[in-house]
Amino acid sequence: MRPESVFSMASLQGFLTVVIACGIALLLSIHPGARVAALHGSRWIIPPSSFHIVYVLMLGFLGVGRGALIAANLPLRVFRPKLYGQIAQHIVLAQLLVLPLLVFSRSVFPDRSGSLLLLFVYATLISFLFALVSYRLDLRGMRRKRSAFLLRYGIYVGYVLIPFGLGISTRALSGFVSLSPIGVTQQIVGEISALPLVVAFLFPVLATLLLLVRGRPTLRRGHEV
Amino acid sequence: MTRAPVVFRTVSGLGIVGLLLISFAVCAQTELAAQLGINGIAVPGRYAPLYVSVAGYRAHTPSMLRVVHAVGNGWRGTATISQTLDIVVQGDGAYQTTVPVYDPANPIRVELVTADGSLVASTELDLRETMRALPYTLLCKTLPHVPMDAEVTDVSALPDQWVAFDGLASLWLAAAPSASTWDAISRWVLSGGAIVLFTGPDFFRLDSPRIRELLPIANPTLTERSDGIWSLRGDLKPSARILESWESGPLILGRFGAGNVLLVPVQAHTLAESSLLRIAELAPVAQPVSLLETTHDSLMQTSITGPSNLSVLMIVALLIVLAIAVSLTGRRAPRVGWSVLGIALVGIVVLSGFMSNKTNAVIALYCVNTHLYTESSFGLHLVFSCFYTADSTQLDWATPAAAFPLELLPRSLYEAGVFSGDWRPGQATLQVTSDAMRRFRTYASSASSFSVEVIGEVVRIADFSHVHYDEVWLIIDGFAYPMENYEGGNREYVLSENAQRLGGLLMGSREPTRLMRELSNAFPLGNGIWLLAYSAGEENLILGSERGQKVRDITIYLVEGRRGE
Repeated sequence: MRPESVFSMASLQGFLTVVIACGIALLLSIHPGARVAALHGSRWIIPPSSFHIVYVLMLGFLGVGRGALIAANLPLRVFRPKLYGQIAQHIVLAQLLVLPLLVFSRSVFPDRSGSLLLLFVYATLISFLFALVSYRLDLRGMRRKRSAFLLRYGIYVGYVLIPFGLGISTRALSGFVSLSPIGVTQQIVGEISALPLVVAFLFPVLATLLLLVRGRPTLRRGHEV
Repeated sequence: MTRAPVVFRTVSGLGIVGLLLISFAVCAQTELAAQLGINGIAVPGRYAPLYVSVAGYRAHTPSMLRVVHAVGNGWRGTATISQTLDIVVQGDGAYQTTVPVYDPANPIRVELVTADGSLVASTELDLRETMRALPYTLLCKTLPHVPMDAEVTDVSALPDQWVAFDGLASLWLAAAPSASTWDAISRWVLSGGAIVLFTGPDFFRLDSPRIRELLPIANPTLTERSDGIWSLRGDLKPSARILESWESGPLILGRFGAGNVLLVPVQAHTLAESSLLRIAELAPVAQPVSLLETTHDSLMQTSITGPSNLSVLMIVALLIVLAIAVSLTGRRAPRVGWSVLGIALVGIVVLSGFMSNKTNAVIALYCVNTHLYTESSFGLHLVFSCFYTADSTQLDWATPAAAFPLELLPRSLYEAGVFSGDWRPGQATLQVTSDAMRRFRTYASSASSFSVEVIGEVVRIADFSHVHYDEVWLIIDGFAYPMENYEGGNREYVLSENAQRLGGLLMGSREPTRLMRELSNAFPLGNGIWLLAYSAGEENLILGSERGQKVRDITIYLVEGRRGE
């Protein structure tokens, strides 16, 4: 079986989805009014940070999709670094395609290049983590001959929404917001302090390391062994 | 010697030394005393004089005075407004200035602080007993106390800064104040103040060049009636009219700038109480000039600086084409695919950078300042500012004049802390919320820059304002003459034949026309000679490190001219 190429039609669809979704979010972040009269009391409620949230979430979705795609086209023997390299290629290409929109977003949002850089790193991390998770789930699904589609997307949506929902539901649980990509993005584009930033990065970093260390990506389908 | 007396002497000695040290420490404390308002009367939303005396000043470095206003309550919302005055205290002394007053129902704290912010001394003013909710009438002490709700003061206690009279509805004078106070009163009347002048034989004491300008009559002379009462007579000025003709003489109401002067031609004590009450009914009420509506309209028309939606569409379209092109080429030759991606992407990123570069600084504040310079033999500088904040942030606002702007606070301070700010001369640090509209007025004095004289068909204008005007009109007795070839400096012009009635000119919807309409409500432009010069100003971008500001300054000179011979 040929490894999944970043230039395949399936990959192209994923990249186009990311670019179009981020483009729409950026477009909606810009108020269409030309005069102050159009701004004052306007019902335009889409905040400029919505672009950044969509950007991080779409990179996460891309990771989920890429993991499954790579798992489905897994060659018989996979050299681990090659697998990671293949995931990285997909993420890098997606990031490169969104880069012009990120650069443009500086004109919508106060010039905080540091925040954009953090966001870039965070989006890459989330995308990589969920590509690994999705890859492992798909391999397991193949072994059990069950589709892992709902599970992989369910885990991602749960990771995005559950900590965020807990965090905004009550003040006592507000720390959970730092675990959700939505909350982390809002904190990064706002003014994040050191502790939530460490929490925001610590969980995905540890989870990724765990998967890298304990993961056995060379698992292959029984009948192919 | 026994042990007990030694202990007693030691203890008592130490006690005396301790008492001396404590008393010395008490003596060394800096004492601050303050009074806000004329006779301690302050009106919310108006300026008031602030008198501060410092005694026992011991700090080694100069200190500054700071006034901290607590505004609002649980129902209205709360704010804290801090004003650091441009008064440097280096020793004992008395200091006077004028500050905006926001909510005298709350304690107002006056502090003496060092440059590093440490407190040297402070005092708290409780104005609940003396404050007035609305502007009030102030009577000169020599007058009978009619009307009863008026406040009474000695003429010598009147402030000599014109802005300090802002809290008055009218001022009744029968005795001559000092020259500097006269000057302040004249400026206040020019800005929309109202004064009632009792003259009669006291006119000799009151008479001065300033009062001649204020009086609604020219060539004033005192005449003695058959009953021995002296009455002031003269020729009515063009903008003056007789309100009522009494046996003692006519009550004459005249205009001076945007203000009113009511002349009572006799001494107050020759009038019955009923007559004084009638004067109270007829007395004009101060109506400060306001161009806030026009300023607000101008702000609404200010263009937004920001990225274009079309730019985003174009970038997205380019990226889609690029992704497809890279996919097609990369499938055959991955290296070529990556190369195409690299080269094209650099181009799109650069393009994106160029498109967003112009608006890199997000504009957090859109501001319009309307500077109205109104002149007689002296000048006033009134600034009306409106700003709109598009973002929730803390920002530094360069105030349009050195004096403290007075913010027109809404009834509800719906978000705690939103209206809080730290004001310094020329600058304010404000906490602002997104989609907030705020309005200010600032009063200051200025030097006279114009003189206008009309001799027949010729106008002689001396203009030293060094402003390039977009439009200049000369308004003579209600007819507006456009000055199309107007240049600054000292020049003569022949009156244009294209004169329009002022009423017709006010029907338009252009910005200068709207301004002129608002000005004609405040000033008697239908009478006498007025020069109106208007400069719309540019929209200036002030770029900060993160957020920019867009400020536009509209400049208007309104000068009362005279007829020459």
